[in-house]
Amino acid sequence: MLRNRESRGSVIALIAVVAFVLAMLVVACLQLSLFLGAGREMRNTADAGALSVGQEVFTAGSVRVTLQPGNQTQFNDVLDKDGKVGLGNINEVWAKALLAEANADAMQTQGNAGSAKAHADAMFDAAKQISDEVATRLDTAANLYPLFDQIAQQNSLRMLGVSTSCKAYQDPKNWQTSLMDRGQESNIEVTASTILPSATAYQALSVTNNHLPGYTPISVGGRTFCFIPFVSKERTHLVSGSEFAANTSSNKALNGPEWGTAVPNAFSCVGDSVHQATYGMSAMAFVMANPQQTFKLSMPHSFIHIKVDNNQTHWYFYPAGPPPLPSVEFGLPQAYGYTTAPQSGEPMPGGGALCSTVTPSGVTVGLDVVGRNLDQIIFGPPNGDTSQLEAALVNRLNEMISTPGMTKTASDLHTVLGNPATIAWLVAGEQDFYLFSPDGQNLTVQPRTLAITQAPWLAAIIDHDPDGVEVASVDDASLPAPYEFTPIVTPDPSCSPAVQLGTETWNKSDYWTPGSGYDGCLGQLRVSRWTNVYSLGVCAPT
Amino acid sequence: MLTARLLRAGPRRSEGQAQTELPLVLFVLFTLLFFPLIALLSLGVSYGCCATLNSIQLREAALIAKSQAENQAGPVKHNIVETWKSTGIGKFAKLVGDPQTDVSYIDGVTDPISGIADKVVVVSTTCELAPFLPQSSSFLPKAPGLNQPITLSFSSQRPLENQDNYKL
Repeated sequence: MLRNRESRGSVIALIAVVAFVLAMLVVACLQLSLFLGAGREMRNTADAGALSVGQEVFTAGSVRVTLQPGNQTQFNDVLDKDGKVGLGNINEVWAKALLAEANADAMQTQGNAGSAKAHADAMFDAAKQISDEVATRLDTAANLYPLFDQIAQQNSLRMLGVSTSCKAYQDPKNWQTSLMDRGQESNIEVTASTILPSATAYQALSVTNNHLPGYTPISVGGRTFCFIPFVSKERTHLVSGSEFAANTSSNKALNGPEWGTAVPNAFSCVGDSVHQATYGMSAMAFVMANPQQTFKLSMPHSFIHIKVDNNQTHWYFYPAGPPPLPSVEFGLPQAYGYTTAPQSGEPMPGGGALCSTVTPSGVTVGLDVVGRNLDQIIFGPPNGDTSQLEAALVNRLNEMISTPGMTKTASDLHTVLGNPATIAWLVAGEQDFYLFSPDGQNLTVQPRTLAITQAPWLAAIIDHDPDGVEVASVDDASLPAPYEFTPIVTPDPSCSPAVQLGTETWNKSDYWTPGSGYDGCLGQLRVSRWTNVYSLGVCAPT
Repeated sequence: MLTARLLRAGPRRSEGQAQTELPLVLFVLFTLLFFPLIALLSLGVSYGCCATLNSIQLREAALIAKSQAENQAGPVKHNIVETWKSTGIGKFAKLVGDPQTDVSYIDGVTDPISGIADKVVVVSTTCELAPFLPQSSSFLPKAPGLNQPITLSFSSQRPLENQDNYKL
């Protein structure tokens, strides 16, 4: 009996052991399958967290900076909607600094830079300070943890337990940044060479596909600029870990001495599963950010000052005889406005051959400006060579326009200056006009008060002068006027008037003072018009 | 005579029966239950391991350029496979040869404004696994996964993270 019990017992024990082993194996397999499934969940969660980082870096307060007083305020017009600078608009800051440097460089080449180079360099330094601070904030892993957590924590990790969640694995070594898409387009658009003050400056930009290249050193005015690549029509997206690692600044430094601290556009993130305060499985993801916003190379809050000098009448006589004998100016110039008016000059003793006096009287002046708009005042007869002035103004207009895809031409310039209202303003005595873009899209020219009303940002900068040196762009252009008059001739004794003829010439000079854009002023155009009245009196002995 | 023989053989029969039954029980237990069950479990785990490989390959293929994803020596078809094979889960799956990976692209959701369809990458991974039991177990019926190699195919798809990668 005992032997029988032992035999049966051994089979039962064996079955029990086998069943136990099988059960253990089943449990182990279940655990393994849960582990594999959880790995997938963890990877998806890390991906979601990384995408959150890639999106939130544009709006999170911790990775954006507020401008400091001083030269950083030069970039007040390129702040985001919260008044800050971050990854989303740092390229705009650099674009403005680049334009100022390009303007100053062109002014230096033309010999009328004044203090523009110093100003442009100051803007570069300020842009670099801002950029470095943004880069530092983005390189600080602790600033990115909350951005990861806010989405990652919402994702399910049920295979690791109901109460399991994913949190940022707070180890800065694994939270790195990278400079990806090198050489690809940035989100700064350059659609036409007229946005730059010179062809040389345009060539220096190496514009590709109508955009400035990203993470490619651009040398302008002895300074090296570097923009962040944000390919248009791309979104924030995950990237491969191997590509990310190959483009970190430690593995592949950017060219250019000033770019040791370039602003990154890609981030690595590590999430860890947390169950009852115990860390478990981790997963890593890599994301490249893209603001999906294109900006034009521009200085949004800038203006051109157009100053119209007083028109003057100068009085000339021919004391020695008619032309080609020389004329001489006599008497004080007189001012005239933008309507026609009769004027009389002082009688010039001996103002004509054998004349006691010659007096220009009842001379109609103002015919050169009456009924003319600002465009005609600047570019109208007498014409002179206005091509350089026109090119300079078109360039500056395009620097004001901040709407992508929009370029202004000479035709646009003449249209805006030809505003009929300018006729009335000139007649009313306005002498200072401001050419600006209130919305980055349209152009307008207004007198001071109206300009500030239309664009309140002008109030802070409207009194700033350009930092270049004034040059005569159109120097004393002259045109015989289709007008004649009869001067009063008092003959010498025993003489009688033989010739009494009065004529006019219309004259104009345009002076251009370029501005780098520092303090918002892109230049000043001063227009000077005057009328020379020639009184010819010749008497003959009786 | 008979009675005496039965009386004499009584205790011997019980002992012999147990001794005779035990190998039979062990045979049935191990060959028809224990090993097949372990083989089944092993197959399940191998399935999970290969599915993980496919999942990792798909994730990478969705992130990189098409030319890279389709490259036989690239990250999807080579690097990830080699890394996977060197890890525990890769070694657990008793591979016969290398996993074969096929990468293709199909159209996904069409943008109603541009009319351009998103590209979706499809990664198919085929793994041939050796049987848990030796193929010489000829007394069992031939069953893939038990005593014959089994081919597992996985196919999964995911939209390209960067649609421009389709052109590269």
